Amino acid sequence: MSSQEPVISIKGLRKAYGTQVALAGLDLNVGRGEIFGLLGPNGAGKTTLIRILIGLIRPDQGTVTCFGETGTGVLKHQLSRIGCIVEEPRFYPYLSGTDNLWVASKSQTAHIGKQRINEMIDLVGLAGRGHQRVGTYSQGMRQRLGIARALLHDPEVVILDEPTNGLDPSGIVELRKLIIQMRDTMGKTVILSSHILSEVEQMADGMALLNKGLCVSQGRVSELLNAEQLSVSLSTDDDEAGMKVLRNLGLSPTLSDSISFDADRKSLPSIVRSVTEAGVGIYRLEHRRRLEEFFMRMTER
Amino acid sequence: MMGTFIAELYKVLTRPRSYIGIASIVALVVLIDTSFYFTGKQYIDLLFQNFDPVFRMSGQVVNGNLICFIILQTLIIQLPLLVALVTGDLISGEAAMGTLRYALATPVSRSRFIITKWATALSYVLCILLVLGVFAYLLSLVVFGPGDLLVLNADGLVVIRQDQLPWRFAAAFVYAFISLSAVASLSLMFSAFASNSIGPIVLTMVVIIVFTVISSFETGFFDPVMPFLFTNHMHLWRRLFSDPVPMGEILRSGAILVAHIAAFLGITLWHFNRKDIIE
Repeated sequence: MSSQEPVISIKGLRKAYGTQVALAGLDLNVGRGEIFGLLGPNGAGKTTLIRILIGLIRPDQGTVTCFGETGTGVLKHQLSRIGCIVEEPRFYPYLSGTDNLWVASKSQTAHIGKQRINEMIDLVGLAGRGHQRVGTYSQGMRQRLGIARALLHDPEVVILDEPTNGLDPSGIVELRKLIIQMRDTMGKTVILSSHILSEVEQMADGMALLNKGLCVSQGRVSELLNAEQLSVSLSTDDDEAGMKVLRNLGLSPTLSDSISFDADRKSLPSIVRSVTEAGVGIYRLEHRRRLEEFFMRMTER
Repeated sequence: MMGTFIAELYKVLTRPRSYIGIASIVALVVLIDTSFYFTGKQYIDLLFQNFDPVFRMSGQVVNGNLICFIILQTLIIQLPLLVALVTGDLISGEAAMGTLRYALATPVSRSRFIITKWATALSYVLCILLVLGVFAYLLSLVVFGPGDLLVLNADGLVVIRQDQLPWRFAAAFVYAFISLSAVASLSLMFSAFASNSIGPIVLTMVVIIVFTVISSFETGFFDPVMPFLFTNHMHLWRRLFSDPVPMGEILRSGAILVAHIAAFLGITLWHFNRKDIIE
């Protein structure tokens, strides 16, 4: 699993396109062997950051330390240790899936044989379809082929930008398993940029939330989602009485299947005590800091 | 380097667009050969009617060498378009398809990427010329047979003996290769600046047309820039069919074309190494 040793460390990264600032002094650390979620609203700087990490864009300022080597961006030879899907996977439509991987293999420093190409085709569930022209592939098949290309040269870091785009529900489940397999079995670091927050919540060990070109929050997903303000769900034997107690405590509870309210983490024990002292029985209490709420709150700042 | 070059070549050779030029050449050569097979004698009579009272021409005037020369003169004007159709798309086409970012997110340096593309462009030029050479020269010789070449140029009527022709045709093809390589390098340069396929192809043709039009002005106004217009040097292959051959002039023009190739490639490398890939 993950270690805390950063495989990628970014300091003071700045990039502007004319007067439009995409990254405004970004600091970020990605731990080795973890699934790292990269979140942020549109225009937060995620794509610019990914493009810097794969050498497509040169930053104006700042440093990127990758695999222990520091440069103004990612150094060219380091790209043999990074695989990626950027925005969406694109291929030569007139070539077959296998031929597309063969073409990609020729840009790598290590020798990649036909066997490896076929292994990757099988791994992503395209066995028997590799010989077909990519122009005939569905978006989901292209997405799978994109994963195959990203893994082809057995990179240490895999950057996946919206990898579940175009996949059907079973494809999404398979891909999630594959991403977890990349970390657990293959020992890879996966940087996962996604708009599907639940995806990051389910899979990521660490995450960073970008907004307006800055990292507004970074840490372990479990810690970030359970710190500070909590979203509490309370099931009682007398919801009306429970609601009354909570209102008296200055909270704003809502009632549906259970009582829901937001509360400070530290005050939760005294809230529970007040409810039980009022004679209301609690038979279930859940508290989570949901990622959607966290995302909205952090990006509205 | 060889691996990426082979992959590039494979991409070009498996792309249907690449065969438009080759198919056009084959079709045009067959059409010209066919038309000369049936009406060649009338064409030659028309061409040389002014010499009729002075010269009497005997022997096989309409022969494979003459047809090949006519084909070269006809097609050499169209070839830049056929070349630019493929070479102008080599980088911008990848940007338009979205594959450029994947090609560059690899350990291949941008300079190596450009050099590979350039080598691929030149290979395509070579391929086009080989097809032209095989069809125009060999097919014409097979259909019409060998013979001395009668050339009507600025010096008047020149008769070149048959045994003098193979090296002249070979040199003409080498010169055409250099000329078309300049066109390929120009379109590749435009391709590095663009993110759509059509722009670089159209721009290359616009440059060739504008330069050619400027070259045709005889007002003297453009005289200072004339030596620097590469299009002025592209037709010098015809001088290989003069007698004597002005080798100094041909070599100087060839060197100017090579300098243009180097300049176009240099600009491409300079720009592409600084470019942010945001497509």
